[in-house]
Amino acid sequence: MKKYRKYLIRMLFIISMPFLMNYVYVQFFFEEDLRKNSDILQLVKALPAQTEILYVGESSNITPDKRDTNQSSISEFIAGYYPQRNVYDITKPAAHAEVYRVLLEQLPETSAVKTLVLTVNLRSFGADWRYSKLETALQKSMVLLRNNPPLYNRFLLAFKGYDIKDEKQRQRQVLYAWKHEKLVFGYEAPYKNVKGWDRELFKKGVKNTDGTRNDSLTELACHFVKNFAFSIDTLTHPRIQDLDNIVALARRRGWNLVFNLLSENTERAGTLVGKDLLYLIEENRKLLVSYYERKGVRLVDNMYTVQDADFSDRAWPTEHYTERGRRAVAYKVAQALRTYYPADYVPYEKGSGRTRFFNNCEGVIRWQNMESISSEYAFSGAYASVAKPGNPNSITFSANAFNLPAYAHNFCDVELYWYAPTLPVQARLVMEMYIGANAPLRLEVPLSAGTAASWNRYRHTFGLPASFGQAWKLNVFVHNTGNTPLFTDDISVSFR
Amino acid sequence: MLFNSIQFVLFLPFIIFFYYLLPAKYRWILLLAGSYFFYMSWRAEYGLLLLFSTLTDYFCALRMDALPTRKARLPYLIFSLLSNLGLLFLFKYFDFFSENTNILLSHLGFEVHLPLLSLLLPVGISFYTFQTLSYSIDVYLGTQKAERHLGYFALYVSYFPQLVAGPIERFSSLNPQLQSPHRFRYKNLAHGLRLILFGLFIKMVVADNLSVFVDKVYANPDVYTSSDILISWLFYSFQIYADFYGYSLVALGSALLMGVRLMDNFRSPYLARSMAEFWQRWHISLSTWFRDYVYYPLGGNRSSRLRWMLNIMVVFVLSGIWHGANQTFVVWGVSLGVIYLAEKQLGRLLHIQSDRGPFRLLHVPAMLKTFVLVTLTWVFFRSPHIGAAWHMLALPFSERGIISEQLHIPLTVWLFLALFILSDIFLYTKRPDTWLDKWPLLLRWSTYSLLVFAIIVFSGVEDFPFIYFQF
Repeated sequence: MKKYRKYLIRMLFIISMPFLMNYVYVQFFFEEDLRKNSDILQLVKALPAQTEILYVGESSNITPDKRDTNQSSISEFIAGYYPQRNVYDITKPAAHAEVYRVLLEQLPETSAVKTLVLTVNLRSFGADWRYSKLETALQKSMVLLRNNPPLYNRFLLAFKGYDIKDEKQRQRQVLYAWKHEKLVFGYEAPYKNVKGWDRELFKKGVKNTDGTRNDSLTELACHFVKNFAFSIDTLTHPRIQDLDNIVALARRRGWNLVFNLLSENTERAGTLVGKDLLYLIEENRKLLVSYYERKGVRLVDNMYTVQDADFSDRAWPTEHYTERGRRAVAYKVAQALRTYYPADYVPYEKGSGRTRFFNNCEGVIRWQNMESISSEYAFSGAYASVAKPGNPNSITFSANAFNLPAYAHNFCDVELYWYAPTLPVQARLVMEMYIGANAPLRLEVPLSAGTAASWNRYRHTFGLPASFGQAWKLNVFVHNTGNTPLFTDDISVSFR
Repeated sequence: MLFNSIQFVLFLPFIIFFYYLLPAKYRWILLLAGSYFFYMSWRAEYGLLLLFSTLTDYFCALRMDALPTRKARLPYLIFSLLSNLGLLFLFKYFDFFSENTNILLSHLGFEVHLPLLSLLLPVGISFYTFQTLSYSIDVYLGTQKAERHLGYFALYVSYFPQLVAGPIERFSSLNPQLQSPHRFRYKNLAHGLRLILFGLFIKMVVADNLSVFVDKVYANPDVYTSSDILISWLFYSFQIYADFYGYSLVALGSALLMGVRLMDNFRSPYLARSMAEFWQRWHISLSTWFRDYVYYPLGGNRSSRLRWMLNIMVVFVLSGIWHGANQTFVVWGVSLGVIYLAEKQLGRLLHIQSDRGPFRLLHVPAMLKTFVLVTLTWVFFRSPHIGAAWHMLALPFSERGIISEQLHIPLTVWLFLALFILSDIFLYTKRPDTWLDKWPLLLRWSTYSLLVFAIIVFSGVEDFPFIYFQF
């Protein structure tokens, strides 16, 4: 009897411990783990609560071109058409439909989001992206968000219970797909798979006008084949399954859903590779458009919107556009949104733009002095900007006045959250305005008193000088002259 | 398949369950199939190398066994050595040899370009090569009868718990255990699971968390202060120990679940009072291998002083080269050999008898001395090339500030490191699988729970393969 009691105690112990451990984990460690290991969730948490129109995308949204005079993102340009609506974005480079699905599932039920604009990137359907070396990190960031008890998810994270592969293994996956995935042409095509096509193209080479081989263009042509030569099967393709899940989720949550099918450089693909590749791109485009329109999704077809000259990257096929390209994509999305917000749409010409700017300091939206980003404290997400001896300025908002609409040249409202481990703080909110090389006009206000070791909300409105006009530039930042580090987060700058 | 992977968490119970379910005479089939599956999960082609090594040594040993004299057996031993070491050379050392030969010849004015093969190093090749070599040499010497059952021999070569990173077992020790009809014993289960639990804890919680900071500093040492650099040295000493010791404990524990006792690979090495003692406590299966198959055949210490010193240096240099094809490992081996000889010489000159008695507080300074010297040699082991190692060694003494600003080490990392050091001190004279036996049930199970909780919640989340897998 005593022996059985001993075993019974052990059994009870074994059964009860997982529950107890899960409880302890959730109470004391889960939040911190999410902060460290699940940047997707941090992006969702950093989203302003008042967001009505949410733009979800990858690097195409935020990658400017060095020639741009206005480096605003696609979502910021869209926001410019709806100044009365709160348009914000979640941007995660290299993300794709699966990441978006997990991310959107984290949006709280109480969220104010009514409309979702989701980037659909044709290149993300190809093997090169599906098995990209960045995929392991993306998969890892989603483990803790699975629909399991948190401790079990942490166990999966610890014991690598997710799609974890090193770079060489990913390369093998890509090579396998290029060799075995069939290309479906509606006619007799010379290529059965990407591998053969790539080899042929490389052997043949792209020629200069004088008939000599151009190695860099040959390489680019091969990249186009590797990135766009595939045929989507709606029954089995993982991206389609994830997009379908997003459609279902949007229905459940009552969101207006807009898919933004991004532009690809078909001009260059056609010149370098030829009609066979254009045929595949077009077939895939038609399939996506018809498939999702049948499902009731509003799909903005931007496939051919951006011209070759407006693609920033010349040595690799990407969806990084110049300002003109981003504006063109944003324009078509903004038109589609008129269905849901007919009264709020404000047409504007080139030279005017949005009036509200926001940075959650997560490192995605690039303002100046990004070196000040730190993970020590954060109001939202995982990062905040720290101003301290050695680097006394916070991240810095910069704008050219000619990008602001003329009606927004009167006041500038700044709102931010600040945190200092100890008081007092010797920090000021600074606005610098200048024309050309003239000495800047500097307006400064001390940060109001707050509580040490907690986040303090701060608001201030700067009056802009009467002479403020098209030629002016301005910077807004927090300057800390004290020895105590000062953290700032969720910085909002609005003009009216 | 890594020990700290979900695949192994599923694989091991499956094997253990069917191991005891099967009649004893068929178990080798399960274990052999499981071991090849385990090994081929890295890359299926690796299985062919393992098979080649197995068949070569199996047939060479059979032939040697049939011959009466060592002289007659010698060609088969040479064939076995050439096959095994040739394979090892091809995969592990060929590029190193080519590169250095090219450099040397170009210095001498010859423009010769030996090719680089860039072959992927098969996991654990150094371990199973040395294991099969020990068998061939033993059969040649006549101290071991050749195994006639190909299945059991193949299992000896590929036995999964110790296949990829040891302990390097002798045939005479492992084979009888593999053939023995073990019955299920609760004690083996409890002790085996304890070893696995403790092994995973020190690998996943201690080593992997230290690795984050070591990797940071070694990747970009110039941006760190002197104290950061010193901390990275300290951390690497414990990282490599916890990593390899953790692996070894999981190997021991997994084998013990099947009733098989593998040899201990570590016995609190950082508490050694001299370099000689350190090598009796660190990677024991490799140091005894070198002792038995290199040092003794060279004459050991039963030769002239100069010859003995040469023997020692040969062993240490070979040990360095065994670890990897890089000059850093050669320098690491040489420096350890020099320290070993210097200690011996000093001891002789100062008439210091090596104290082999139980631990006393007076031993602490000697332990610290050994630890500091070993830690310095690890800098060569960890650095990508000699230049980087010298740079790293010089950095703390350049003017770069003391106070750490870049390296934010959470308290939990220090806490787990302290626990690990304490456990090592506690285990100085004890075995890790039996030390909990006397504890009350509640305390014992609470300890298990805490270990499980720590493994799940505090383990490093990056992909940290075992350091010794690369060897």
